[in-house]
Amino acid sequence: MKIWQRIFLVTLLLVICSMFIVGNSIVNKNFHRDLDKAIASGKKVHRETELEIQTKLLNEKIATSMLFLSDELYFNILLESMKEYNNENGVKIILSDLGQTFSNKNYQKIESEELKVGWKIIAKQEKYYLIIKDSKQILGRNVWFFSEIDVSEVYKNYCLQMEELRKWCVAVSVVVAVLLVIVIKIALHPIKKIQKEIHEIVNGNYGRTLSVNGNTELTNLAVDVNNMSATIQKKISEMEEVLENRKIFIGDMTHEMKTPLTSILGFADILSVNRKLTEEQRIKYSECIYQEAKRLKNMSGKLMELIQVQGKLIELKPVNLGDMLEKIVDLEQIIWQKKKIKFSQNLCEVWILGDEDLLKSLFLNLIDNAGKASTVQGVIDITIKKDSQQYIGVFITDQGVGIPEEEIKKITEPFYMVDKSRTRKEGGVGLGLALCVEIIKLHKGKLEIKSCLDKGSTFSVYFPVTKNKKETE
Amino acid sequence: MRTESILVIEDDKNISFMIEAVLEMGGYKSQVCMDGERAYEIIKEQNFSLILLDVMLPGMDGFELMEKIQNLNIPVIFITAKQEVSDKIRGLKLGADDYITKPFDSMELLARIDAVLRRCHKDNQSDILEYGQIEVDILKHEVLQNHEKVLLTPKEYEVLLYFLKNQDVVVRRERLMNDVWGYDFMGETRTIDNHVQNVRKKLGLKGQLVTVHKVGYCLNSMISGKGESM
Repeated sequence: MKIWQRIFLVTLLLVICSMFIVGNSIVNKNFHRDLDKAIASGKKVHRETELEIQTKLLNEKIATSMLFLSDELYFNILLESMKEYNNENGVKIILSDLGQTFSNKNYQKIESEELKVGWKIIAKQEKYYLIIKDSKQILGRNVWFFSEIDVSEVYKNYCLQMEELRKWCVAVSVVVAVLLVIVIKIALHPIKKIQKEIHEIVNGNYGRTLSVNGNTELTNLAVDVNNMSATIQKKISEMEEVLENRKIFIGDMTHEMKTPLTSILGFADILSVNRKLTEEQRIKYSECIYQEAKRLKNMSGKLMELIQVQGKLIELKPVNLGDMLEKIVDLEQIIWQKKKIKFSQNLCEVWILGDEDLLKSLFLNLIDNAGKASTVQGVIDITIKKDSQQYIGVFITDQGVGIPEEEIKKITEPFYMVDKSRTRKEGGVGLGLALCVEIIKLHKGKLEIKSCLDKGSTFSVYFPVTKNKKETE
Repeated sequence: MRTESILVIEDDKNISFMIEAVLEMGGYKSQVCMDGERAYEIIKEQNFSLILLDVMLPGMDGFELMEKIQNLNIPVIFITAKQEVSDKIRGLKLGADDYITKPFDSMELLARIDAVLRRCHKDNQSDILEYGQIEVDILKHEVLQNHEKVLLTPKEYEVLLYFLKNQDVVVRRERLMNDVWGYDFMGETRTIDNHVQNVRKKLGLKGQLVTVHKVGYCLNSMISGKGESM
């Protein structure tokens, strides 16, 4: 059953029941009050009769100076008393324990043996009578008084009132029912509106917001739905962006693979079908295939690195940057001897939390890039500096070809190469900086690139200072 | 031996070397240029029968260059890496005669070059092809052996012509199927085999038109000796 139906039914039932109960008890109270009045007056009559009879009997006793009245005398007095009563509302019957019944002449006998002391209402010929029974001890004998009071009026009133009550109940119920339906429907109308808006959101209209007015519980619901819609919208945008980036990445990757594949396919084909090749040609062509295949191998290796680093969970351990960089510089000095490149260093003992292998990879890449960019006899400088209270900076500066202003923001994109032929000649694939960016992200750091064409570039990596006293020096 | 000269404008060293090797295999003379600007100069200076142009060049864009040389009426086949239709349409609209997508295999390139040269009447193919005692008159569609007519079906004729133009090269079955029958051909490779057998039989080329197991066929040129069977 729907909520509004439940509310409606329960409220309606409550209204009807309480109306009925209250009305009923009022009417009944009235009825009993009237009845009690009649009973009280009846009992008064009994009392009077009792006193009268007692007086008569006492008089008789005194008159006859007898100690005990005989049954005969007793009877006579009782009989006389009855004769005097012609009042409709007076005592109708007197019973004594002597087994005799004395009743008013105009009165018809009633079956009253089963009655205990008390009262009862009987219906007789379209009228209602209240029968009151009393039991008294008069001069040693039990005397029962019965009187019959016409309570038709009272009874009629009672019935009329009940009828009124019933009519009112029905009328009020109908009115209340109608009003309830209207009020509930109006109160719950906003739910329909909210439902409609949510349907819109479900159908793909993720950014919809509901109009919010008033201050009901439904207002809060609307506010919450708006928040939910906004969150969904944001998440979906984020996911779409991720998907788009992924598509672009795969597109670029496929494109980069085509170049070596073209040579490999071409030369392999020639080696296979050309029957006129000289030995020299055969050696040259096979060598080309080998070189291009190695290029592909390089690319796939770097790709694996990149993919593994993306979103990796790293264990943060204390790493001594100064030490690490010193060792790397020693290594790189040997590698770049051929270009006669000199290294200058400004290192100090500095600790950060990170993954040692990834950090090694990061700096090897950056210094390698510096080397590739440098001209013969250039200088590469590596400096560590505590930039502010919050960051430690590692600065790698070269005096190489530099990067054009417009390209600086693009060079960290996967596969992007400023000078394709130079990069490819040096065996590069265009993934080095993308890898560096991922590693820096994992370490919650920042990368800044400054460059001037033909003068050189500076790559600055900032790491957050660890707050743990144990690891910092 | 072909006398056509082809200019290759391609910036990747290995790919340009590969194209050179293919062209040499096809018997063409070739020259490589890695730069769009330089290429324009060279085109103006020398006479080329065809230009192979990579659209992704540093410096001058391939399409830009094409615009510049439109009026020179030199057939151009452009080399693309992207498979985007828009690129192809753009190139063709600028007057290119055909396109080829990387990566490609050698025969595919040679087939396209041949087709374009023929279409533009820039091919210096003589009207008569000779192979030993066999003479093929291209204009008359006639095949003579020892000065006697040899009857070949249209497809057999084309197969013979194909091998005559691509001697000392192993022609893969799929390549033969594509170039002689077309890409729509739904038949089996048995058809190709049968045709080659027929040509071999009708012209007595048993020792020269050889089968290369699992690959295809090869017509050994007269120069490479009396045709070694493989």
